[in-house]
Amino acid sequence: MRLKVIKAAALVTLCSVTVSLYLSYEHLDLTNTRFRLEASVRYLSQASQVAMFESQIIPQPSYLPAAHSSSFTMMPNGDLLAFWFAGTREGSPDVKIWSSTYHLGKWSMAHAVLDPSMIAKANHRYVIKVGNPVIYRAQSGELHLFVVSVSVGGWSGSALNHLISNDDGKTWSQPERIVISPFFNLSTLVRTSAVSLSDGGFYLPVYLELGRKYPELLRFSANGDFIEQIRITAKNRMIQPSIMPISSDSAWAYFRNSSTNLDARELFAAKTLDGGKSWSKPEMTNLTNPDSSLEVVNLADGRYLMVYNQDNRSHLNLAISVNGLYWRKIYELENTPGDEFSYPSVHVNNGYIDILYTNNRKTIKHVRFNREWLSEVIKHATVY
Amino acid sequence: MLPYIEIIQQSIYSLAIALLIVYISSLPKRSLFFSSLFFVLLLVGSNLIPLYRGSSLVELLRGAIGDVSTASGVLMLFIILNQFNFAEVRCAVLNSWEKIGLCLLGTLLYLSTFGFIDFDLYHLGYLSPLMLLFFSAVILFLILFNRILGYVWLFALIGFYFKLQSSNNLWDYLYDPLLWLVLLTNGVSSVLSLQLRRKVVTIE
Repeated sequence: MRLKVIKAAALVTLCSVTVSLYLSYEHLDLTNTRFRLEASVRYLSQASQVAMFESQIIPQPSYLPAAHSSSFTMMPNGDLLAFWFAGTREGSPDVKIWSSTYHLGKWSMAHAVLDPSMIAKANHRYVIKVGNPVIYRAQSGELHLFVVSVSVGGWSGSALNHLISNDDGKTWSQPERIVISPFFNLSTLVRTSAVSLSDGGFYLPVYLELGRKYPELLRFSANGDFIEQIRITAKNRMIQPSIMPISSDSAWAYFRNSSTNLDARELFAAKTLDGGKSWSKPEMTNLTNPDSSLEVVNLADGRYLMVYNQDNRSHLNLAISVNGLYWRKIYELENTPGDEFSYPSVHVNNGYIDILYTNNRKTIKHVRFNREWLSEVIKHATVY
Repeated sequence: MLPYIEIIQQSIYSLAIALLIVYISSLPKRSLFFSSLFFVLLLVGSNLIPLYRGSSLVELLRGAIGDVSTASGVLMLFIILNQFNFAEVRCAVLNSWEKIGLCLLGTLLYLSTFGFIDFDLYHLGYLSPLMLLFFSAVILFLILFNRILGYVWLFALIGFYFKLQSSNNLWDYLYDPLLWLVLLTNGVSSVLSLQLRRKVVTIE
C-alpha cells in the first residue's frame, strides 16, 4: 500500500515537472538569432583624412617579467579597457589578471584585477592558476570578463569563470564558474573576442582541449545569462575561433591550427548562414597558421582585416580579404627573429583600428592606425 | 552561484568523504559513539582545515572533480540506506541491465564531448524538448517497474527544474563522470571475476 502511494506521488510529480519544463522551453525563442554589426556605420561619418599610425607599450610594474594574451574593449567615451595575464611566467601560481585604461592617448599603469585565490574563494574550490582573459562590453553597458582557471594539470584542465561589472570596470562581481563540459567541467578555454547579437546577447567563442581539440560558441542572453553552447566543428586541432560577422545572418570563423604535423598547418575557416546555429565544414584559406592565435575583423567597407602569424611567432602580419578565403598580406607589424609577437586582439573603433598583442612575452603592445594609413599600406602592398 | 547550490555540493562531498573514511576505518564495528564522533570531526575537518595553499579537502576535491550530479547524490543516499537495510527485502540499487545501460550512455556522452563523435549529445541537454520527453518516458517506465533509478532520475529532473546545480544542462543533473567511472570499474571487475570463476570451474 505504502509503495503504491509513493509510486502515485512520483508519477504525479513527474507529470507536473515535465509539463512545467516543457512550457518553459516553449517560452524561449532562440530561433531568431542574428549578428549585430557594430562597426559598420560609425566609421563612415567619422573617418579622418590624414594617415596615422602609432604604437606604445602598456606600462606594467617592473617586477612582472611575463605578460601574455590581451583582450580589450572600447568604452562609451572612446577609452579602451584592456586585460591580460602577467606574472613570473605563464601558468605560474603568481600570475594575475591585469588591467589598464587607454585615456586621451595614454595607457594607465596596470593594476591587478583577479588572482587564483579570489576565484578559489568565490567558488569554494582549489585553483592553482589563471589565464586568457576576454572582455566584452554588452549593449546594456555591462562589462563581461571571462577568465580561465586551472585546478589540476595544464591548460587542458581549464574551467571558465565569468565576472560582471556595472560601473565600467571599477568593481566586479564574484567570479562564477560556468558549467560547459559534462566531463568534470574540464577543458573549456577562451581566448578570442565575443560577438554581439541583435537581441542584446552575445556569442563567446571557446574551445575544448580534452580528447580532440575543437571550437564552440557559448550563447549568452541580453542579461548575461549563459544559455547554450554550439559546436562549430568537431574537426581536430581547430582552436581559438575568431568570429567575424559579415551580415546579420552570416559570419566566418577562423581557427588556430594546433596540428603537430608541420606540413598540415593550413589556416581553416568555417561559415554560418543562420546566425551561428550551424556551421559549414572548415575549408582551407590560402594562409598557414603556426599554431598561433589570430583575430579577424570586418572593416565594414567590403574588406576584412586579419592579424596573424604566418610561419612562426616572430612575424606578426596584417592581411586583407574581400571574400574571407583568399587573403593578401599587406604589412608586417613585427619582424624580429627569435622574439615573439602573438595573440592579437583587434577592434574597429570610430574609424581607427586598434590592435593589442603580446610583445615578446614581456609586455602588451598597442598599435593604432586609421583607414587612411591602411589604404596607403594596401596601395604599397605589392612589395610583400 | 547561489548559496544553496554551494551548500548542497559541499554537503555531498563532506558526507561522501566522512562516510567513506569512517567505513574504511571499520570503527563502526567497535564503537558507535567513537565512529559518530569521528564522522562529525571529519565533516567539520574536511571543510575547515586548510591542507594545501589554503584549500580544504573538500575544496581540493571540488577543484579537481567539479560538482557531482543530483542523480549521483541521490544514488549515494539510496546506496547508504540500502547498507542499513531499512527495506524489507534488500536488493541491489542498480541491476546489471541498468548498469550496462548507464555505462553505455556515459560512453556515448563522453565520446561526443571529447569530439570523437560528430554529433553533440551534450547540446541536447540545454533546450531540447525531445530529450526532456525521452527521459520523462524512461523515468515513467522505470517507476512503473519499481526501479530505484526511476526515483533517482525523478529527483534529478526536479533538481533541474529548481536549478539545484550551477549548470543549465539536464545532462549535468542526470549523470556525471564519477558515476560512469564507478560503473566502468564495476563492470570490468565483474567481467574479470567471471572469467576467473570460469577458469576455476574448468580446472576443477
